[in-house]
Amino acid sequence: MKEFVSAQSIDEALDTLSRFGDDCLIMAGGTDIMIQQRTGDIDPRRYLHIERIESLKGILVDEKILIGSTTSHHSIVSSKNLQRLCPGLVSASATVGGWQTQEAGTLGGNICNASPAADTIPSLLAANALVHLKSSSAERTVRLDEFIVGRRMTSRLEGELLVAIEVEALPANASEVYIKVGPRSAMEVALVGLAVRISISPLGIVENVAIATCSVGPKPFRAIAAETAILGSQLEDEAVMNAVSELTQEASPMDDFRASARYRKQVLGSALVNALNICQLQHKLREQS
Amino acid sequence: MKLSLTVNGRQESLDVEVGTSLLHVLREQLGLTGTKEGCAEGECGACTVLRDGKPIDSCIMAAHACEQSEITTIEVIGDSPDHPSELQNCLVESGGIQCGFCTPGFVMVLTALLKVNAAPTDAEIKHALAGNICRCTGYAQIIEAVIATAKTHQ
Amino acid sequence: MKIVGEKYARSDGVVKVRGEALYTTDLQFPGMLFGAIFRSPVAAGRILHLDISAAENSPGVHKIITASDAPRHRHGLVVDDEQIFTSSDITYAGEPIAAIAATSLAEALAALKKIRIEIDEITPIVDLHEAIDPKCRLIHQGWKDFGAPEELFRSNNIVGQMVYDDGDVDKILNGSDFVIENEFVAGRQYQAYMEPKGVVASYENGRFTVHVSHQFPFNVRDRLAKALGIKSSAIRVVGHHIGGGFGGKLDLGIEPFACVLAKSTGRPVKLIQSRAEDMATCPVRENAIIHLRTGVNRDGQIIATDMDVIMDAGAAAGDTPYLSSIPLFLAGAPYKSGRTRVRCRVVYTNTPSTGAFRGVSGTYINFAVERQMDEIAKVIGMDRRQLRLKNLLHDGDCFLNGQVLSDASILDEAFALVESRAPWTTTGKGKLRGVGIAAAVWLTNPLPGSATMKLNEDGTLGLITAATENGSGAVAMGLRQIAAQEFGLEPDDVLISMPDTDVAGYDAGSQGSRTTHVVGRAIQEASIELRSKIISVAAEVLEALPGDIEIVDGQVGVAGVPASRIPLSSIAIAAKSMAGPLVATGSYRTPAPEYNHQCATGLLFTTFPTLTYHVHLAEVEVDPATGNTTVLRYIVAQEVGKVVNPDGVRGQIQGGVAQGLGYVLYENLDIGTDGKYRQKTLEAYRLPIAGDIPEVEIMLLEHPDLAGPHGVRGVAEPPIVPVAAAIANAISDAIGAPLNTIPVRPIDVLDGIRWAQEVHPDRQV
Repeated sequence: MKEFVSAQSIDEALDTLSRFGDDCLIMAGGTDIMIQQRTGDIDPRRYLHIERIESLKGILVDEKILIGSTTSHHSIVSSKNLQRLCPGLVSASATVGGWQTQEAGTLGGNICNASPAADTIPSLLAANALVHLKSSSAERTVRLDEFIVGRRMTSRLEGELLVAIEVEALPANASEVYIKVGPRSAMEVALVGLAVRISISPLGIVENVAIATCSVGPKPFRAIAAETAILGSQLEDEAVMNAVSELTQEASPMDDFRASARYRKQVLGSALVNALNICQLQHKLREQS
Repeated sequence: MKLSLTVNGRQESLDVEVGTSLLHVLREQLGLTGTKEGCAEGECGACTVLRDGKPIDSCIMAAHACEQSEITTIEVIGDSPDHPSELQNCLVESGGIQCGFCTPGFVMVLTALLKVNAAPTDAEIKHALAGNICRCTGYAQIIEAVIATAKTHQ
Repeated sequence: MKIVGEKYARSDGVVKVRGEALYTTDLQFPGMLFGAIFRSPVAAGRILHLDISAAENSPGVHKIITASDAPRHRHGLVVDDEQIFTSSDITYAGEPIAAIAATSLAEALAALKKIRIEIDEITPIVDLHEAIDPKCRLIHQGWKDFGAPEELFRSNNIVGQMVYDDGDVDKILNGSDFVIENEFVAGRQYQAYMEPKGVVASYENGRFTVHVSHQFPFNVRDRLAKALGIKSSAIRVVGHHIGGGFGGKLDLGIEPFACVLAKSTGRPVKLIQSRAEDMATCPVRENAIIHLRTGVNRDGQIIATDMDVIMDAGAAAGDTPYLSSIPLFLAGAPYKSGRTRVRCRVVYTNTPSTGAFRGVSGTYINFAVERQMDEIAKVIGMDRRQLRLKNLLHDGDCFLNGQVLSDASILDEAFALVESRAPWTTTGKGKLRGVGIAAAVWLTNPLPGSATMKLNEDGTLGLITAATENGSGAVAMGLRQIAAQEFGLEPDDVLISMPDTDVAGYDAGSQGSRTTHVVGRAIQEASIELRSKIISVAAEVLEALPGDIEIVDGQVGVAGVPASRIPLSSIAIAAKSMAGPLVATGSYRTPAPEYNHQCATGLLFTTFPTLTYHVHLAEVEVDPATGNTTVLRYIVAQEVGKVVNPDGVRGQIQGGVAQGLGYVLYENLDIGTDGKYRQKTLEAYRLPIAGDIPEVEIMLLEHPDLAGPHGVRGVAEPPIVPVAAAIANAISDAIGAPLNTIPVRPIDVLDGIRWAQEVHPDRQV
């Protein structure tokens, strides 16, 4: 008979995990799992439900920002702190499905599901996110880009629970944006997702930049070569075009019924130009005020 | 596996197979057929119910995950069989109902919206409705009903 | 009391908004079993071996039925090319092979997985040009033996063809100042009614009872009788609330499977399709290729038209052979086509069959005609709207079948109305903005209907009809208000039964906007009889001459003597001890307009009766970064004859435009080389959501149709027809490049922008 364990504490969850390991499917909001189960892609014998664990929920803002793994997308979108300190993540979370999915779906679930189209991951990568993992015997912190290892694959070890996501707050002189491409006004699976976080000096020089994408490869990734192309520049056309060229070279999008690889590559470049324009505009507005 | 659930204020004790959706329990075990299945994958919103006051797609919500939740379905929206809620009245009056299959889901989401935002704008209504598909109406008369409801509250 | 034309809430509004309305999926019966269908996993091949033994022993299974224990003869709506189960040849992915009845749906689905099948698979034929080639492998080896009307001119994979030829078309084309030639392609569109198909069937005492949310219960009865090889009187079809149909619930669907399972188990069997199964197997709007050559004079006059259409029937003809006639009407309307040739061929492929969807075939034929108008205007250097006005049909002009359009000049009025709202020369201006206009002429389905009316003893009116309320409001608003008007009653005092083929007279279902028009007339016919019965009873009760009796506001009295009025209820009560209960019936069918019977070969759909006229204008903005389109403004001018309920009319136009917008911008069932749709769920098939649809600006024209009740023409179907054309024309205008494929994909828009920049480097976009 199948079993459903609804853990009330992290300890209880870790205890269940230590006993059953991978023979136990961790479920938070369950929005992805329930679909995969119904279509027969998975057939778990045991669920570990972690959504009731209060200490996995919430947003802690101190020197660093910690987001509990079962914090819902809706809570992220509604968080005044995150709106200020991590606006890219907020706008990305606001594009995950409709209201219903944003209430049930969680940040940790979106990460662990590791979909190539996961909306929250590019913004997290741009914010140098770390994931905090815990097992009954150990704790570790891993960079998000190392945690996501491939299409629907993470480096989470047997017995480990993702407890929190740590992100760097947006520096005072920085801007960030998440651009999601899809034909409808909402409820889209990203055909292309692009997050940019950028710091521009008063002289207009790019001091720091992070560019990350989803839906243009087997996993979301930071586009280091594109970042290098504009780091130290003044976002002049040539630098931007170089970044676009590096970014599209690095991308390896799929052809599928949603869009062709050719479309995704083309739009990815336009999205970067748009994102940089928006950030530059934000920068100028900040400088003026 | 045993499941105790609070639905529409009543405590229910059921035997439910693990992995069963909340929607299935509501419709097939509790006979609450007002909540509809349109897609079974969280795309259409026909199955929307309130879980602790928040709208969720019951087709992709595990029933056992609702053990400690208060579930509210379309059956208890409105004061009595003779008195639908103001929103429900406005939907009927505005012509925002055609085939009616999506309607309970819209009522649930919009009931939740009006609770947190008594006078939503057109854009706010459309944003709240992103997860609800209506194939018949083209949405305009539904949106009008929400605005009319907000006006009656002023 | 004025009821027709006024705003009244629909009769089923409250039960629907409270979730109390019961749809087929909500029904429960004692002892009910759950069914599931085992379908072919591949699109083409031959069954080598089928093993159901493990499934039969699966927990909860009552019965598994295959071809060997079900009726095996061929049946179909037009061509007898379907069978309940296949036992050997597989013609499409999803073709039924077996059906299971089990105690629960979960057990039925678990048993389904235990059926073993071995198939000698062959490469499916999915390409229309390949399928139409006479050398192509036959989709149906035995096509010659299928029962079918001779007028279809079937051959090999062609299951229907219509040919019209004025003669000398090539000669005139060659002699015209300009020849504009284009090919237009349209993909498949899924009706995506929110309630997937379902049925509950039972078998008692030699008769089937079939509960189904269906647009056309009598068609279910008659088609089932043919499929099961029994008399139609052995089947009773009971209708329920319908969770949307849009044409998808007009033909026989999964009812035969529930019936054979119910008969063999002796239990009611409920069969509900999952969304994925519904999407993968149900008949959807056909894909098509339209080749169009138009000869035009320098002054913009169209002097010759050559249209060639290929429609994809899928693996079974369904109603698609009928649709081969539609191009004949749309090639020559709303614009004169000059000397014309139209050929339409309907072709089998190894894909799920196609079928009716609101605006049958008209959506893409209109798209071809209206896109072509824009391309003509570009080539000859004429304003797009002027070109249309120059070639527009007028009163007394004819369709290509010779049928006279006595009131086509309404089109001029509709163009003028749109102009008054959105002046052509100033609308759609600005960077990557565009405007598109499209017009259409459409019909109101003439097929027969009936109504039985009774005056209840409390003075309310009972209306018994098999007309179905598919959501449009045609019954819950239209018929109710028409019936109430006849007796001066409040609409709430008209009680309408659910369709039941044992109870009501024949009705041809909710199709082609016919219900309010045709059944409304039947109600008026019944009312004449009912009124005369009421009057004769009242004359006796009031001791007056029948000629002096009047029925006013739900009361009966002597004309001119208001004090004499008594309630209708007293007449109904009195009638029981006099002439007997007051019941009357009425029937109606729209008479066929005159037409030239020799005009074409293969014309199954011969006339366009009770015409409606439409002009649509769309204003769009294109995002050059993504190729996405936003529809900023959408304007509709529509001839409706007479508004019965303004909310109902508005809902049909707003909703029809939304479906058209989805069709041209988002929706598509791509067919893979495996013969299956690449979109398998609603997550993949993009339906428009609230944020995608502008509020449609609606302007109605009301030129009464002389035969329609109160002048009513059809309303509900045609608002979808010109939408794809209007929006595609607007996008083409915005980017300066032609867009000749439905849907217009973002990549097509980006490619178009690039093309336009290469061709016209100085053009500002």
